Amino acid sequence: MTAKLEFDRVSKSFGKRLVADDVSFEVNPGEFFVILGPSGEGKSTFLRMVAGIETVDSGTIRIDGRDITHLPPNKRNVSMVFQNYALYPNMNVYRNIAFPLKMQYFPPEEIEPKVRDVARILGITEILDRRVSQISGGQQQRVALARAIVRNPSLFLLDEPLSNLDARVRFTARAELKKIQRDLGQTFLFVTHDQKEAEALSDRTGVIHQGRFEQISRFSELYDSPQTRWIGDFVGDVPMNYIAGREDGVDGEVGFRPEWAEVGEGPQSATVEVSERVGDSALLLCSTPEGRKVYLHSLRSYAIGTEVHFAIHRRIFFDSNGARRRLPDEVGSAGLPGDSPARADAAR
Amino acid sequence: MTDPAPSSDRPSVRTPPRAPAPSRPVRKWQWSQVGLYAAVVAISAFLLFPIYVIFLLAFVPQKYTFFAARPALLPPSLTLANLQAGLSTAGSPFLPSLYLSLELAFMVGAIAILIGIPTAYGLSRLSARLAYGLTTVMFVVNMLPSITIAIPISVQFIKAGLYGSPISIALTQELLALPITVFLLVGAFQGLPKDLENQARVDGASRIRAIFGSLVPLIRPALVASFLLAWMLSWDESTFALILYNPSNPPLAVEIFLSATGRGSVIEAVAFSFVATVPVIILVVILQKYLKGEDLAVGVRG
Repeated sequence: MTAKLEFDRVSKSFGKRLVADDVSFEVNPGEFFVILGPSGEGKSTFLRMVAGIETVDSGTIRIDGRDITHLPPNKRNVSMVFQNYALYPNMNVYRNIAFPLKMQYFPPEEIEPKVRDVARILGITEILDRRVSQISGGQQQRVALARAIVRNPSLFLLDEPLSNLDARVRFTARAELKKIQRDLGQTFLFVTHDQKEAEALSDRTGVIHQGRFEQISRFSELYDSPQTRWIGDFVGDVPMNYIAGREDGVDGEVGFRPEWAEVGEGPQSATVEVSERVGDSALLLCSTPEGRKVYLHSLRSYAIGTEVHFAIHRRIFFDSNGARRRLPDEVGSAGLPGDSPARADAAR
Repeated sequence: MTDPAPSSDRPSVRTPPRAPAPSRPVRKWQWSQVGLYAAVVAISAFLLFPIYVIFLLAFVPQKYTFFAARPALLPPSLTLANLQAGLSTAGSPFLPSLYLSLELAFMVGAIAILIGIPTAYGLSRLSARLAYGLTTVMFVVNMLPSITIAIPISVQFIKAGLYGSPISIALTQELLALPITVFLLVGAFQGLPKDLENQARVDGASRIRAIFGSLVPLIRPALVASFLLAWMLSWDESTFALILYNPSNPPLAVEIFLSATGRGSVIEAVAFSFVATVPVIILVVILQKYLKGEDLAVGVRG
């Protein structure tokens, strides 16, 4: 019962704020699809439109080819985990998990084994009698997940379900979530602003910006092969570096990740402004003669004010609109975005 | 509920080491405290004195109160004779009036809840400003003197053939009770996290079941409070009742008024006015445990 989700030219705005601008994309059956974007981009609205608790201005949303755009939420057979878990505070854990089954008029003798089953999977059997106010945040998250799983929906929608957890619990919950998704083999649509979550969980990630997907790809490709300058800035611990460049008769910017450059010898030069040890190497924040800030990795630290030279062995060219422009010497990899380091060597 | 989830992600709250207690707990009275308590006692005495006088009139033999030149302030002896006289007079009007008043009060309370829930839910889903404006408009009836409304309403009830029926009094009293109910319930609905309803909808509940299955149980304290208010408002209300009552069976408040102003015995009326407080007390005692909202605080993070 794993479903395919399609957005077909969906638009949605709140007053002047455009949240979805003619968006089309598909989530394949059994796929873990992450919508990634900075806070305030209206990412949750996508989930809410799929769940039916937010209307769609125009366009069509389909699940397994069936148009659900205007169905009420209770007729869509999707499960949603809200950011705050929205557990029913007047019910204990058991009744919270049983609620969706009760709403579908399952007979009580069928509800009990289903609830116990899913509680066992999530390891919350011992707390079934507790009130939801008496359990920890991690347990609340699992109860919310159990309630989503118990009704066996065709699609799971998760709205930053890990963001309310402490760092340590979040890590284990993340691994657990991925395992559960694999075991269920169900389609997950997951919203987050946290790149690490997207990287750890997603089969594919769509990065949303100003109501449009800037790029939909495997997470590694977002990092290695950003299609726009904005993605280069947004993805990664530090933004991509840019220096002015002219390629193929076009003015624009050359972008490169810190690890795509080698400090030592090279045609480029920059002055070290900050040198920070990271493990057994150093991260340098440097200033180029044109006044651009670039981050570089180096094997050793440098004193502030030192002039360093570096060579860029892999680069991406963006035109003046911030869109990627394929260079003639990377034609070999043009057909396949997501260059591996080996291919980066070839481009050198 | 022995051990509230001592799991790794919730830091257990440790009580700080206690400072050594003084060998003898000495409570020092400040003059300001003395003054405060004196004021509390004085104001309470002032407010409770009329009720005390009614108590004396109701349960002290008439020779010490009604027929005494200087009525006793402390009861020399207590009696149930006044109450019994009121009950045993042939065709005593008080018991039927008591039943009618109970009927009216429960009707007003129930109708307030039945109409109040959907109205308040609808208002709570509007923008806060619009909801506030509309709720205020509902209070217009409460702002006008009851008498200006009672007369046109009586005319309508006469035309409808409902004049003098309990439902006509109940519906009119509802005009006063409903705005308060709606006001309380709108606030209660607005205080709930919106995602609870959304969650119920996604979990497969129709809108009606989402409201009654997941939201209404959470506003129980507000429901109980507004039921009590509506109930007591009807119990006390006498202006509408006085204009709309059926002379053969007036509500208790009206009957007491009529008795005290010449139709019957003043003492019996006073005795019954004291009895009239009993159902209110019973109701409050029964319902007060539902007024607590202990399960509302948690359950939703963020």
